[in-house]
Amino acid sequence: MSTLLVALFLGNIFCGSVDIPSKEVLNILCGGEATKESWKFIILDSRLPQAITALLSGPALAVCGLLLQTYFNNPLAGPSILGINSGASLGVAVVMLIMGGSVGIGALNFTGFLAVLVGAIIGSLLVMAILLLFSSFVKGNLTLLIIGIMVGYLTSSAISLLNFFATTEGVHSYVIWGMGTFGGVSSAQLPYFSITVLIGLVASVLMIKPLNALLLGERYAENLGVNIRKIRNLILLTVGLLTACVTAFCGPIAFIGLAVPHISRLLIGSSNHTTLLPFTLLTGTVMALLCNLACILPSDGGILPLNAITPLLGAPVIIYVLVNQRKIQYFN
Amino acid sequence: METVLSANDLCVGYVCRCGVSPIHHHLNFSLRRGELVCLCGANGAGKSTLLRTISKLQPQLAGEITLMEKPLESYSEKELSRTIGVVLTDRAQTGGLTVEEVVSLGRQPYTGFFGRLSTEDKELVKNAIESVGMAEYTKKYMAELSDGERQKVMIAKTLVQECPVVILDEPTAFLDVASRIEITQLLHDIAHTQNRAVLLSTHDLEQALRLSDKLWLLTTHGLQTGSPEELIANHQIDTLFEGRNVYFDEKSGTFRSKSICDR
Repeated sequence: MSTLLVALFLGNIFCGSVDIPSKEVLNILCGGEATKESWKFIILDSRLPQAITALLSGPALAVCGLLLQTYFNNPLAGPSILGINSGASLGVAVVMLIMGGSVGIGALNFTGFLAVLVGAIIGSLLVMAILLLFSSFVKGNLTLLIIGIMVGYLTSSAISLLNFFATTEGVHSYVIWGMGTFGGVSSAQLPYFSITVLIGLVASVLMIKPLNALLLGERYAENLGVNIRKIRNLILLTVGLLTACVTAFCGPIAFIGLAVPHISRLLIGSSNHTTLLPFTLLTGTVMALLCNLACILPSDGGILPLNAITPLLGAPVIIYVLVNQRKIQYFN
Repeated sequence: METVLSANDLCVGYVCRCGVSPIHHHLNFSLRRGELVCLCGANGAGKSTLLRTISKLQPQLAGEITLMEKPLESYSEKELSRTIGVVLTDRAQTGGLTVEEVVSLGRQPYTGFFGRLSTEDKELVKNAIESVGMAEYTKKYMAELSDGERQKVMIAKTLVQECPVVILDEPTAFLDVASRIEITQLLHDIAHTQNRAVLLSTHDLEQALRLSDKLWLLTTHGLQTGSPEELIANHQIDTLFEGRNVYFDEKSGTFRSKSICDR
């Protein structure tokens, strides 16, 4: 898996819509001068940040899916299906509207970055709070999922209403953003983006022990000394932060959060978070790099939207899991 | 025998949005080491509520519970997890864990930040799995086990918690007769050989009468406690299903339908 990761990362840098000889790429990466100045720009300011964004967003979304699936005791939970990234989108849309409607995300400075991030976090936390509220008195996993989907629709319609008041340019940039891309983080924003995501990832690794206890259910976990309120808030914050950060800059990306935990469980044959969580991070990275590569590979036609690729890889996995749920251990 | 848990004037029930709805008032009881206690009562009598209140999974409405000479309320989560181990009816998502991994979760109150097991922890886990007779299943997934076997694993989990009190909510529900006998016998042995206080709720009166050291009958009149013999002799057991069409037949030691007797 790690070798695959390295290979895909290099693939992401060496391939793209502009053909650049491999030798030149290596030269540029090592800090040398390129034959063409534009090539250097493409590698260092486009491909490298894009690959690093994918490298971080993949595990971020995947681990969100895992945390939600464990916490809600629901194998079909995920940041996109529960409407959490729609919440983040709404936050982004509101902030962008306040800031003048047509501000492109790529052009943001640090204050802008912070404003958009805070907006997205508030949006995603709001949705998670609604879900938690419902989960306390709604019985049954399916009901909660459907409520999540409904919340997603509600936020989407709110966004559409907001778009009505935005400029044409603003709507256009919003639509492009909605298709999803790992290319939305500029090299200037990359450090802030990376630090935010890394904080969330580290937090998730620190929760491994209580997450395992939660597999037994909340009351058992409580009896094993887990402070349920604390861990719930921590999961809420982590998922909110990660989903918000990735959604704000890459668009609402579907299926990575839902499918990757399943792929990981199937591959290692365990739901023990001690191994499952790190492996999910790894698989998430591989998945994101793979999807990004698939987006940039058709070199003559430009770049495909990310949300055109992720369902192609994710949906069959979910269907496989659902069809075979009687045979799959972690379902029983 | 040492008393590990006692309640004085306890009131149990639910706290909901509309206020407090008590189910039982003025309950008094005590639980001793080395004793298997079976809590019996009709459906809806409040058995689970009582058990959850004793295990602090639900707040007590009034009165006091003393656990190991300290009020239950003063226990931190960590302390409590080393004092009371529970087996619940909650459906867990443990299918993808092995027997060993589930039992190891019982060591969480003792392990460090990442839950790494020491050699002694592993030894304890191994012994607990052996003592519930699941040694050959150690590496099996929970998904591959029957309901009765899963219940044994959960009991092993409470054993490695090393707590003096073990509380089980209907551990033999949904099990076949063989498993019911095995589990109750196992709990009886655990109470006696490992000197723990074991409290379980059950509908299986036959096993309760045969194996328990003490019976707790929870009815609308409150809680009546005593040895099975006492409760039968002074006809307190008859109050269990008062107003229903059954009576307790002392010869067979079971409840029987009154209508059949009339014929």
